[in-house]
Amino acid sequence: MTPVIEGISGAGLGLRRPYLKPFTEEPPEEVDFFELAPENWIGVGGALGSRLGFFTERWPVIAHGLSLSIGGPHPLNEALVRDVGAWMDEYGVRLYSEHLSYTSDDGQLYDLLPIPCTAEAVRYVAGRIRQVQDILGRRIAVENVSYYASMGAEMSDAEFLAAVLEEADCGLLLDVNNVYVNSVNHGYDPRAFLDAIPADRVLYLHTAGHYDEAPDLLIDTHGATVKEEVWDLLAYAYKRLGPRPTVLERDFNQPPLPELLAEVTRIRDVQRSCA
Amino acid sequence: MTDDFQALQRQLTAHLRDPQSNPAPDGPEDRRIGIYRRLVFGNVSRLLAANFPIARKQLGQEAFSALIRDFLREHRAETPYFPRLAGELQAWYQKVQHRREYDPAWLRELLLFESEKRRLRNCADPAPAPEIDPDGDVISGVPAPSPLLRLLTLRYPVHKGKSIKLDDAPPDVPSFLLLRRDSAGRMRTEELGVLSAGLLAMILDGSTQTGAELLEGMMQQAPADARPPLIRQGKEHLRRFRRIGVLLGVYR
Repeated sequence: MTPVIEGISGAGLGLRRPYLKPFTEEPPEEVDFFELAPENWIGVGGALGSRLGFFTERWPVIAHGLSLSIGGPHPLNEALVRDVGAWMDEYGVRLYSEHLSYTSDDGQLYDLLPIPCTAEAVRYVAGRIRQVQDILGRRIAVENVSYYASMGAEMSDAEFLAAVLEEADCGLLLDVNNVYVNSVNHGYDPRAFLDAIPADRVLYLHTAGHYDEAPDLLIDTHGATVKEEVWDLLAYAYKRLGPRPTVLERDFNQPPLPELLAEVTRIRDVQRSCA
Repeated sequence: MTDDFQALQRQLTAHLRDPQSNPAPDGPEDRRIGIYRRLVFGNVSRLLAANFPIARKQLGQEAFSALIRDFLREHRAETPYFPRLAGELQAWYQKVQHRREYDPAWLRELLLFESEKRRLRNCADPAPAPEIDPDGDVISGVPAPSPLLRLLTLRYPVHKGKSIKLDDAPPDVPSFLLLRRDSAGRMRTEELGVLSAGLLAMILDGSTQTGAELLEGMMQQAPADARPPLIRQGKEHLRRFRRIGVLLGVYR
């Protein structure tokens, strides 16, 4: 059975600061829903804060967290989880997703660092995801992240991901660009990774562009258009999973809006062709 | 063991905070760990450069990068919220006791100025204040200030740093700078004179005196014949503060 996030379907876009003004002036019809980072919006007032309502009133919204450090060694930031929950209620946000990574030790580093793929880490991380779900009273989704260095692994990243999802009983945000980047960086078949995904846990997908640092080293920059290999992989994922909601992420080197929105439209085209 | 994978995680972050002093975890090629070094440093410096454009410009790339390196090494930022990252740099820097080679005399005030500007721009909209009468007279009543402002006494003219090169030698007189967010959410910066700054400082300190009493008190030291014009000016300052929203009214 295909899992459903209420009100979310089609092609979404990660909302970034440079789009706020143009989208307020001309709401983009290409975008079915938006994804935004609660850490950019919670507690923000003034001119910036007043723009949020424009989007949450017109589109369904998913919260995509950046700083929870779900795999971090420091105690879980429960205050952040409660703030996110209250903020989701206030704005009618449909789902909270976070990265299967860590961003802090005893202080924030604000970047997505890799969790060693060990059995103990599975138990630890799954316990923290459950803790988040208990506080929020709802299921969350975790995202498979790009990683560049593997430390202390006892199992493959696919096995680690599946084990965490199972033990935490949470959803998966499947980032196909990350699957592609990791398959090159760590030398495996991205389609085999997708074949091993527990399909009924995939709540929605991400796609994005990356940067070729070296033939065997790609960086998930979100700073370029989506590569053809990743579009192919997205179509492959849809054939297996069905055309589930998918967000385009673009953080740097923003193209003119028509180009950006054409990529959003292309997501929908691929979804239709795989329906 | 929990300890094992967390020890690896801590070893990686220790290395990313201070690559010179702390070795990376064994195993991965250095060019792979190097991506994380670049990502962490690049991300934090990009965010902070956007929050401190004047500091970035006045210091130059090299000194600004040295500042960010020290911040990453010495500080443990707590906020998960990106709009509050400027406050983390500011809070850390105010605790730093010793001067560093990249550290000009005006830097402390400049970081305070830019982080306060950022904080006021983004902070949550204040809750309604039923204890304030917006129609009250700020001369005969106790003036109530807007929470969306900050009065800074600056030895260095750091607020002019967009257009002038800041100098280590301070000018003869300090500047009194009023930073505020107006009712439309725009940030405004205004230099105040001694009289209006002194008045506002007392109001912000939580004085329970009326506007007229505040002025009387301030005039104790002034020669008798200078008082009436100064009091007149002071009243004009208070009324103007009310008009532009620096004062929200009077306490009921």
